Amino acid sequence: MTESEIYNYDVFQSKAGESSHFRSITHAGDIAPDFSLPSINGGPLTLSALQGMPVVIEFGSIT
Amino acid sequence: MDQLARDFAGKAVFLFVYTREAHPEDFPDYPAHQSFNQKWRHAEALQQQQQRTPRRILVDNLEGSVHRLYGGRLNTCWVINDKGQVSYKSEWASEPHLRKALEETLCIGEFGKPRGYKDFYQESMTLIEGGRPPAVT
Repeated sequence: MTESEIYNYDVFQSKAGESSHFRSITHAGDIAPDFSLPSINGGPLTLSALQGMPVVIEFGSIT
Repeated sequence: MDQLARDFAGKAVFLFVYTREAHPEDFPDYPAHQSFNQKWRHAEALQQQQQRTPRRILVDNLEGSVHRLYGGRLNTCWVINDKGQVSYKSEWASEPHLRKALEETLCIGEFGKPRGYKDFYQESMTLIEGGRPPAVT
């Protein structure tokens, strides 16, 4: 299976260790990992370009 | 979350990163993504559902690189302060808890130790009520 096939499962999967992994990465006080993504509102957006104002990031989907 | 974004308009930027489908088995119109274009269309459908959302919707790549960089959990929420530091992270996007965390991010610069809360895992830079979940009154 390709990486995208594993990531995009057909049926919901809650993997063991997901929660502990979430807890173990990037902690409060750490610099947030930078990223740049396209926006359906127009243009790409780079996290580090938003410094100067707090940013709320939510991860999710329509389902 | 939309109301929260409206309440903090001009004080914080709200982003929604579109990930894999959480429950494709329950939504025949939104199956697992086979291509980035399909993922983009689903994100557009979300925007149409939430027509007046003040949040910017970003679309991750097909492999979920940014999602996985931030832990890969579904429905997680992060607050980044004006210096680019994580001031709050939560395993679940709870509006009242996020509101409290955001208020503290805007008002208080004191560092706190990571804490685990009763209902779901959260961390905050601020010292919140002796380690108990933030009040949600």
